[in-house]
Amino acid sequence: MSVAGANPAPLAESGTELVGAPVGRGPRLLRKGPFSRHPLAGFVVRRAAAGLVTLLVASFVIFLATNALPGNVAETVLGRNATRASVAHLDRELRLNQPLLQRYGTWLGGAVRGDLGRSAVAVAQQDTQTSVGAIIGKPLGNSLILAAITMILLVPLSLLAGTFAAVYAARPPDYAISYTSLVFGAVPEFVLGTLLIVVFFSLLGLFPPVALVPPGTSPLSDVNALVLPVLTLLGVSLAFCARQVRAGVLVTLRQDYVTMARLGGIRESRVLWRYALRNAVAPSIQSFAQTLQYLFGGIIVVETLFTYPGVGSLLVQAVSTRDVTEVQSITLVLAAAFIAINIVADLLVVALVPKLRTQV
Amino acid sequence: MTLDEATPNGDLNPYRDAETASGMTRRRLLAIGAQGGLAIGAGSLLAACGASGSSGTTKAATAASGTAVRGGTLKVGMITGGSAETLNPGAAGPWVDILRVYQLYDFLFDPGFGQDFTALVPRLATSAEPNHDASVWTIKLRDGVHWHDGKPFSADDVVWTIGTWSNVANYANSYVAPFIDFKRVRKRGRLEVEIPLLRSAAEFPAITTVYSLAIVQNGATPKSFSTNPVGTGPFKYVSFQPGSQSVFARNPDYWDGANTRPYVDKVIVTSSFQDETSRYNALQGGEIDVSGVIPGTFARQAAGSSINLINSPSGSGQCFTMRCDRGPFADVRVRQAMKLLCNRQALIDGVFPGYAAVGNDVEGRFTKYYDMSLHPTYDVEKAKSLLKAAGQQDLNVTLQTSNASPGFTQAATLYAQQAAQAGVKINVQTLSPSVYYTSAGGYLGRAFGQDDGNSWASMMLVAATYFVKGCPYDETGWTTQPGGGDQALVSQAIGELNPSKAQELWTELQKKWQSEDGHLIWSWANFTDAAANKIHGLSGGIAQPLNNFNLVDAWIAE
Repeated sequence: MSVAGANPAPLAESGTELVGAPVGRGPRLLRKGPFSRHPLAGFVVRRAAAGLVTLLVASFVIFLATNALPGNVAETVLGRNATRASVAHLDRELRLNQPLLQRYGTWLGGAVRGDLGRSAVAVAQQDTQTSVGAIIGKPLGNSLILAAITMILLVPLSLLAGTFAAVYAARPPDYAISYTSLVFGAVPEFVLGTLLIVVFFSLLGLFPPVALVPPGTSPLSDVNALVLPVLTLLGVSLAFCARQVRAGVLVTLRQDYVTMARLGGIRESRVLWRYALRNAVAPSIQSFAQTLQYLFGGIIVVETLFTYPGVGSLLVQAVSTRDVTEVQSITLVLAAAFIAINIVADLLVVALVPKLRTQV
Repeated sequence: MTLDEATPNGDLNPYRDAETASGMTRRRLLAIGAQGGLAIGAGSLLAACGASGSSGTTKAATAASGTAVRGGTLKVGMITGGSAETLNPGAAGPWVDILRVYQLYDFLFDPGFGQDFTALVPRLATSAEPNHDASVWTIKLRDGVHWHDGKPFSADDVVWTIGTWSNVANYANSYVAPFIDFKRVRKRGRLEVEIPLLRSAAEFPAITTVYSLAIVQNGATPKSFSTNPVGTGPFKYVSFQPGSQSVFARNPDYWDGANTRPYVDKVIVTSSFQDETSRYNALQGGEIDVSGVIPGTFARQAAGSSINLINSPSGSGQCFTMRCDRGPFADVRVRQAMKLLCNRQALIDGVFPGYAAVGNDVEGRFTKYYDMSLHPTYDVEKAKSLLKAAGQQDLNVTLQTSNASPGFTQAATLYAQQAAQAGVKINVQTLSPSVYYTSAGGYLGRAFGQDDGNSWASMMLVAATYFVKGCPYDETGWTTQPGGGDQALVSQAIGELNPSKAQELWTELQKKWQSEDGHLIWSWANFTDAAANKIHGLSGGIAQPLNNFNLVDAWIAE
């Protein structure tokens, strides 16, 4: 039986060296570089750089999509109250009379400095508060809170349900967990949410049917109002995440080292926690990341159903009031969040799987 | 004998259709007027009304059940207007803006709380006197009124407000710019303002009832409305977040309160609702007490619950619009045919069952000179023959609609089915609500579309909105068609001071509009609202929904 590392690595060619134990298709050849001694740091830097490039491309697409459509932005914002004079005024205020690329550069430069521009509608109405950053701050925070609460519950529930289902695979507990979560996962959010309202509000009178958050207050000031929205989001997300965990645990439980651990007399719970779960959860991290991306900006249906003032509702409102500048800035923020979540997910996977730290 | 005395408006039941008011129909009233039996000159009319005292107490006395109780917080839920919401009357757009304007501010005149708009009610103005040809109006203002910051109301405030109307960015401008000679507006005393006009207008004061024309304080700017809006209304500003919520507190020194009104201590208007279902749930759950402006398409659902439904006829016309100056409807016979083949009752039954009245293609329902003898005709055979005469027996047109207003797409679909009976093929094209009312979406220029209107306080306002050259909403191309749309007749009617002659002129115009104009007004949609059982004092109104938006009358008692 060969033991990894028993045979010394072959001599390297000049200017390169072989790194890591032989894994997969063989040792990787890397040229010496600034991160050759710290491959993990190199991975982080490369991922961040790729993320920035992706964000740059996304920003251009977003800007183009919202500004290059037929029709004048000022006319679109002013709607049925557009007159020649009011359109010209708004064109000047929003610099819409500048070339497209110049406007893009101004907008992007401002975004890099934290200035997301001015709301077209607020400018049209000559409001005091026209900063998009100030307008979206509270809804963004509200969405973060709802997403955080949901994730805090979703992750352990998914791990528990998925692991339990895998341990009892092809047996009644597995069927019960899998099919129940599938039923809830297959039902659209508004149906599940409405069902929860009927049961917990109309019939039982336990929780309010809406989650109004008055200005100046935090969603956490009335936790009761968050119960039904969180339950709805858990219901539609749990199936996806739990099944990912189940699949990962199933595969891992069949590995030789797990069998060896069991044969060695190690307690089953330790086998699961120490040997299986850590490796099994790595593939599930991407599903958690996808769910977090959905929770952050994609839950407009739930926000509408429960009248929860999140960033999804704000985006829809901005679209309905034809506030082009607000739409493009909110979309950019959401794109940045999506990219950041992906990067963090990749890093978490590397953190959980040590052998990947030398392969990145 | 004044018009008020001749009109037994003691019965203010808002649920009764104005055309069938017991004892005195509009037609009979107009007949009396034509015989000269009433002194209904504009100035004397308004002066007589000014002597009748506060209009507010009349509304509360008839609308409330039981004794009004002081205290409590009234929570109103409205569909959101998003970040576009404002407390600036000159920029008010969605219903929630208009509701807030009515709480913070007052107007020179009010359309009144009766069954029609015959008599304007003096508010911040006590009278309006025209000169010999109604080209100059002298407005006397009410004494003893104070702004929310304690300053006294005076002519300076009115002159300043009129100045803001001259700004094209102010929505009021489109209504008054054809009439007011802004440069010559002046105050003639502490409580007197002279308003010269660009043309004679016998019903000029009626324009001041439009929601964009609330009176603001001297020096108020669009920026000040964001930080510290000051009005003379029944409620004072406390806080406001567009697209979320506003909080207003009771004005204890309200000039029209008689030391009692408003009854509630606070009004909270929540405007984060994006659809009717969540708003209805909030009403059921007690998160809000009142749901204002419910579409007729949803009213039936609300009516079946334990919530009180407030239902009132209105002058809000639901219409299809056809261009008179170009395209397939440039031939008047084609427009007439389209009107003949519209089964309006069937549309109502399909779209607003029980919550609308049949329309007759003429705007201005409930106004002083509205001719109630004009009724629509449903005659498919005649429609076919007109189309054949015009060479359009196989007419194929596209109708642009949207979910921008409740009932639009349903009405478009049903009408297309009706038109098919006459061989007319209507292709219904649904546009996004975000572009429907923009020029990019073809608004004010589309050959065949849909729209809805307001309750107008006078025929002059109707003409100024749709039929005067340069008007803001000439969506049927009435003024740009060959002939220009009878501008001389319109001007004559607007300037005619003699009520009998004015009635003749307006009737002639209404007949023309009904027969030839491109507005196919198939219904007058009711104003419907809902309130929890503990809310009292609110009833229907024909000028605006929700008690004509007068929350000053509301009180809370379990």
